[in-house]
Amino acid sequence: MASLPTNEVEVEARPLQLYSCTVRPEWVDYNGHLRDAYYGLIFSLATDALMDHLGLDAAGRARHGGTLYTLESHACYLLELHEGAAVRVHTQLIAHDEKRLHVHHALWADELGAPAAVGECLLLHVATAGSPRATALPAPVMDAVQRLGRAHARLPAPPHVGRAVGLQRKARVAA
Amino acid sequence: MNERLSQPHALLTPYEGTGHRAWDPSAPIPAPLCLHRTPVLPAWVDYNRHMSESCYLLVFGDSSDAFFRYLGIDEAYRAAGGSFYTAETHIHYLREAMEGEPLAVTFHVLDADHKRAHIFQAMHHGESGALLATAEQLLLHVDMASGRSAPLPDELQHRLQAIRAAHAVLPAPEQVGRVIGIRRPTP
Repeated sequence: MASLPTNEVEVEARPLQLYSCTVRPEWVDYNGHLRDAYYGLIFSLATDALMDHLGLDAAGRARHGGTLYTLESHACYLLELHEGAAVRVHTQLIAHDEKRLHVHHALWADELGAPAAVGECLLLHVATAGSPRATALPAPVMDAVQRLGRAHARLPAPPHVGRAVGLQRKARVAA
Repeated sequence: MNERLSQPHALLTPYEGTGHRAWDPSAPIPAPLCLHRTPVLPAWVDYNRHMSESCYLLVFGDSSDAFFRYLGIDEAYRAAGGSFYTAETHIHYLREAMEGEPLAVTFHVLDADHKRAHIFQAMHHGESGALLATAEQLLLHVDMASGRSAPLPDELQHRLQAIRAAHAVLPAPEQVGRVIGIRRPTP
């Protein structure tokens, strides 16, 4: 079996843990529970951390002249979180092509034995010079994406991936 | 960029304290409902003056609150121990919204049972009508004391079904039932 070149770093087959925070008082509703928009904010911040990890931090975005736009997101709110809860996001790359990433985030809290929320998003690489247009991921970013993709292909698919909203759960064909 | 969201959007929605209008069984039910309008607030935009992703959820949330009040659920109802939670949300981001632009949100009840509603919201530019974003959601009625889902009172179930019936004439929006995925992903 061919061995990897010595300068290739093999990515471990586990979700990335790139973002954690504490639930702020201004994020909870009249019941003292984290409001759904703020679960969304936490997932956005985790996506930002993933972009940094893949080489699309502020310097990378300036160097390559592009960024990632969120086309779609799908979140399931499973458990309540309160002000002060310490939370962390586990991130998994589900699939990618030359310009899109399908990412899954799970929001874990120290005191819970299961995720408080899960969310998927579809991200599109867009060149920002002039009017934004979809374009292929820059080569060094694509390398990082492919390394991550190979490692995460060894992980089981998270249970909520591929879900459609509805009173009866019916999986439909992806757009 | 994201520090702006640490400034509080009201803990409460813009409608808190306004109660609810009495339900008039003889009044026609608009299809869809349009119960919430707002400009894009300065606290919601990023360095490009575009509304940030999670702030779309704030606007949809305020629109949901307006819908609950239309149904008859307000702070008095919640004080008596019931509430609606958003269990699931699928959002499509179609166009950016700039600071100061007017937003108008429509609300379409797709399906409902004794304790859940499957709904679809569309956020439009308030003047041009351009579609900016959509949110397909599952709303769940909960008994606060037990923390578990619970049936709506009969009268509210009746009203919810009346809205669903009125909305059955609407065409199914193209985003309904969609699943996130990449066909033919790179191996």
